[in-house]
Amino acid sequence: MLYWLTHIVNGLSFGMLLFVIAAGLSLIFGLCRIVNLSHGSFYLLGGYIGFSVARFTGSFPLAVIAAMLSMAALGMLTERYLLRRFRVNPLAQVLLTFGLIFVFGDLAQWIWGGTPVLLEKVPMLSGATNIAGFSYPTYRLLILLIGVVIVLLLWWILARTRLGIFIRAAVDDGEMATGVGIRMNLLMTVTFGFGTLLTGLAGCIGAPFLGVYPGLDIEVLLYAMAVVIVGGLGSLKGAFIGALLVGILDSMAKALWPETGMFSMFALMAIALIAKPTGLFGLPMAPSSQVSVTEEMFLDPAPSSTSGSLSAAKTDWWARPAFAWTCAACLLAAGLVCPIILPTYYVRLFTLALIWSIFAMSLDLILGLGGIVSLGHAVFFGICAYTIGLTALRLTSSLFLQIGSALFVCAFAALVLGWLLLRSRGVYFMMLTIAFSEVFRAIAHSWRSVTGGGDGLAAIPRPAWTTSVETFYYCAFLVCIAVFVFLRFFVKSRIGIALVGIRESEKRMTSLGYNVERVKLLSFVVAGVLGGVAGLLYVYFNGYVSPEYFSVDTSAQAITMIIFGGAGTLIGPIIGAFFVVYVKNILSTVTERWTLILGILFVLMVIAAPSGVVGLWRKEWYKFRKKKSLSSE
Amino acid sequence: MVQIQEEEVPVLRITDLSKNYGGLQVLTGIDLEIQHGELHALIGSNGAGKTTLFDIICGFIKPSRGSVQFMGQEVTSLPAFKYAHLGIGRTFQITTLFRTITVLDNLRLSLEALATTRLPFLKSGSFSERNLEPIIGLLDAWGLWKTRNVPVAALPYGVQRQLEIVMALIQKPRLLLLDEPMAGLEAGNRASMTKLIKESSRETTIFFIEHDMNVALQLADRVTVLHQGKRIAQGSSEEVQSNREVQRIYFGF
Repeated sequence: MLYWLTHIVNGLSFGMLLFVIAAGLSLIFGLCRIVNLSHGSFYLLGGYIGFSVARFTGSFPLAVIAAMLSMAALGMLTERYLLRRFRVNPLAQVLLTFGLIFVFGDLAQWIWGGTPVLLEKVPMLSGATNIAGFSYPTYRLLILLIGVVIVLLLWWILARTRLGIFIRAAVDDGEMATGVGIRMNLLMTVTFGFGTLLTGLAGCIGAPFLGVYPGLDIEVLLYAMAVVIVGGLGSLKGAFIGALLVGILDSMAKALWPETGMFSMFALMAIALIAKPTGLFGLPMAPSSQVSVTEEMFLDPAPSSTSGSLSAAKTDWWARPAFAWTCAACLLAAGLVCPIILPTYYVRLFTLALIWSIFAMSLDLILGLGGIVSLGHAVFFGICAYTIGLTALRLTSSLFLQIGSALFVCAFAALVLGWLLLRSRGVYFMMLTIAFSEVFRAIAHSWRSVTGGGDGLAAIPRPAWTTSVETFYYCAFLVCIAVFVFLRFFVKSRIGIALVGIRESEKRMTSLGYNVERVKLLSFVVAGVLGGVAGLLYVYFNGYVSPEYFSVDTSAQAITMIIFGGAGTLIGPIIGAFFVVYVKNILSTVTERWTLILGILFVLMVIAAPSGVVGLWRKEWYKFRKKKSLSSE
Repeated sequence: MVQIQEEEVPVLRITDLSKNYGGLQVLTGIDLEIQHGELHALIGSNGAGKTTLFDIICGFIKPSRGSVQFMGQEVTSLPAFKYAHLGIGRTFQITTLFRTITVLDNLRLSLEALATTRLPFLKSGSFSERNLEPIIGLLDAWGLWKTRNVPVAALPYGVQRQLEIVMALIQKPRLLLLDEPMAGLEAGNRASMTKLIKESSRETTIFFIEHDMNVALQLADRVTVLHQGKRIAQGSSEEVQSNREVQRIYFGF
């Protein structure tokens, strides 16, 4: 009995901490209509700053205040200088906060190092309190208390103060609020800062019992997202009930079956999703709250070939198919001779780039073409890699069986996940994809008997005939071309065109008679299987699998490639993949901070050239052609 | 299967249709019949439930009570995308064309929607000369041929609204729902839109929402008036104009 009571109170206090985090996330969403994916990073930084201040001054309250204020300032700066310029483009905002995860995370690791730090508790609070024969750590009770105070405080602010009325009005209808003279820009900045302030506070008061360590940002983000997925975004009541549910369930599950860990979270989110795709108390998904697609971000994948031939005008040399074929042939030839003329080092590098090209293209099919923003595409990469690893090490040496089973498992997983996740849309879909990929990572981490835990599976044999670097390069090259050609057909097929239509307007596609759900699911499965193909090549290439294959980093790299090259095109992700792999390779020989640099690059790309290299090229090309046609007249 | 005589069965029959969101009653006990070849107008003030009724007719929203029959077939519980296959086309109050792609590609999307093929990802999405013909004809008739290669976003608003109707017409619907086709159009465009609606009504049954009482009375064969979720009048223009309740609400008598 006492055992259970302890775990329930543990769960309650953890739930309160989660509430403080999720309340910030929910508030920011309610007002700014974006999901702040870097929310966990603010928690992490809050914890670290609290730690440093506490060590320097020796005062815990001072540390809390410092963490709160610094995070509020950082949040307001982020909102003012990064997010505000993209107010009409929620997708760019979300991608920005996504990029910031890596910038902040690596920055923190740079400053505070890779080993976990534990904030010393205040002596007065480090003991245990005895209530009616039940002894419990005082500090945990304090967190419970702080949680209750913040619930009341938030309620009071929202219900009773002038600011609260403004916020409620703006959450309800932003345009109307502007109309009655509320300064939305200022209000958004303040609210964003307030949300990150709460997270900073949580980071600091959570530090004494959770510790602060690299990777905590993603973990906290995952918990916060689980809370809002269960409870619903944009509602404090939802955040509160969701937080308590997640907190209690998490501590119970960890006590009962320590091995399952994250799996309970997975189950909870899946149930909540099936029951109510917008959470228990979530705001209804108004059109404005969906991640809408802007014309600048995505390029038309396949300008209709026939509309060109319908115009009677003489086609210029660059527009003729012969020119495109010549370019393709040159690239093909270059790809074929490069292992012969280049040193082994570059052949390996290019092999890697080809594998990443496949992965990025597969993600671009749903992200760029379909506007289905999945931030957890790594799931398929990892599932395929693990299946190959397990079958190769334990079951069979037949390459055919290994690949066959891996692709089958991957397709099945894509079908189930697609069926489950595509029920929700917009920000919920995005959060769920991250959450599920992290849950898979956690499972791979804790299911030691099968997956080998954090060490992963090593020494996976590569088929004998591909052991030479050159042969493997040619394999990857062929697969990459095959995937490219397949996707090109897919994009131009009826399904591909329907997918673009769905990106632009789902409702209209339905009313025209398209089975939107099926088109989306089919594309999701195709993208998943092709992502799996990349994972399969990767595992043969490297010879080992680790839980990191599932991590957000993997998806983030693919998204960086897509954004760099140009979303919605097929050639863009390939260009991006070669660029990112090459730059990463150069950077990692010079500095350990390549994640930081890539993160900054990602953020800059989103700001400066959201349509990527291909987009820039098309713009300039268009200008050039226009100029030329003007001068020839 | 029993062949239904098209002329005998009403194109659309709505019986005792109600919709409520929690405690909010949006539509109450609507009965409506639209006969073959009719040009039927739906009038009502803001919040009368016009668009909700449309959304129910084309399957986006499921009613709380009551049924929708199309050509004598019960369609209430079908998934939304099936409605177009049965022959219900619609336009939206806010234009939702596919803005980044050309006029021709928009029409292609519309035409391809009803093509029933297996393994659709093996079929090329581009035109063959065969299925181009109906598009050429319609675009010519509506004077849109010269805009065929222009991205929709670059077209003037009036043309976009016309294109929306063409997109629906190209599917040869048996019932065409137009949600406020006149909204936001200036006088010149309104006249040509009126003409276009008149012309297309020769080929198909049209049910349209109109905000402006006079336009609706002048254009439509029959008129239904909604007020606060209830049907208060139905009939020919004269009948509706002489209806007491309509006079009280709209003309202030």
